Amino acid sequence: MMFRDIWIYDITSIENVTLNWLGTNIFSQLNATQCYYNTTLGLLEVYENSRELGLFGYHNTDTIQHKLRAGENGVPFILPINGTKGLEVDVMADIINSSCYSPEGNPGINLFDSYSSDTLLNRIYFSNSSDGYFSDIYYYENGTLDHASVELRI
Amino acid sequence: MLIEATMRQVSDYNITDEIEWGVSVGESYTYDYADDGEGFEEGYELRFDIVKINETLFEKYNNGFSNEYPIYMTHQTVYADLFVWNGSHFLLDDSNMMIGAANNFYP
Repeated sequence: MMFRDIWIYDITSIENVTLNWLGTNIFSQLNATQCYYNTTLGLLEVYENSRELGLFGYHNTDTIQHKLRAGENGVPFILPINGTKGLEVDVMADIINSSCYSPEGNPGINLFDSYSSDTLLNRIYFSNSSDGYFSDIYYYENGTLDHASVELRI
Repeated sequence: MLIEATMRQVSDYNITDEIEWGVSVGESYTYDYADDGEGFEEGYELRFDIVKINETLFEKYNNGFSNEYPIYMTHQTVYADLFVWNGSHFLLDDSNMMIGAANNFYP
């Protein structure tokens, strides 16, 4: 039987941080805590310290100019959106490929050798043609993950 | 390690709302218990007094992501005080014992 769980994220802050990831620069970091719902109290209760859920940065002097990191998750749970155009999965697919899923971006995750996007479905699809691993992700217009299916080697 | 996973954003984050227990706080359940695990049979009369039903966050090892690191998952849990019959009356043997736990995923 496949293991099943619910992850409840409470977004706690969005802050600018300076860190060394694909170059030392300032990034916009979105932090969240994981919670569980206490039916007895009718409350969401926090059970861990706030941590990175998403990280994004643009630095025109770096080799990889746009960078996106997905916290400790294998897929990005939240994407930044363009202030005027909204979510642009075609742009974000390039960025995820060159940073999040690159060898430098998320060590340990298998590499993908092809990817595509569908702006009508807000879908981003990564795959490896030889080992069959893939990451098939759909997003809402606000940049949060709608649904996904993945086969990853970590 | 291969991860095969599906994810879906949901609006209902209560994973214990489908749990219904047939017992209530204040009720007692008495059992005759026998075992012969060490070559001779022993018998007890045990009584469980239901003292609490609440949500408890458990560390779940051997989950789908890691055998080493736990995932925290809420369960609705039934607790009872355990009494053992000593021939004349029930003696408290253990208090606040967890005797049942379930959520919508793991009944």
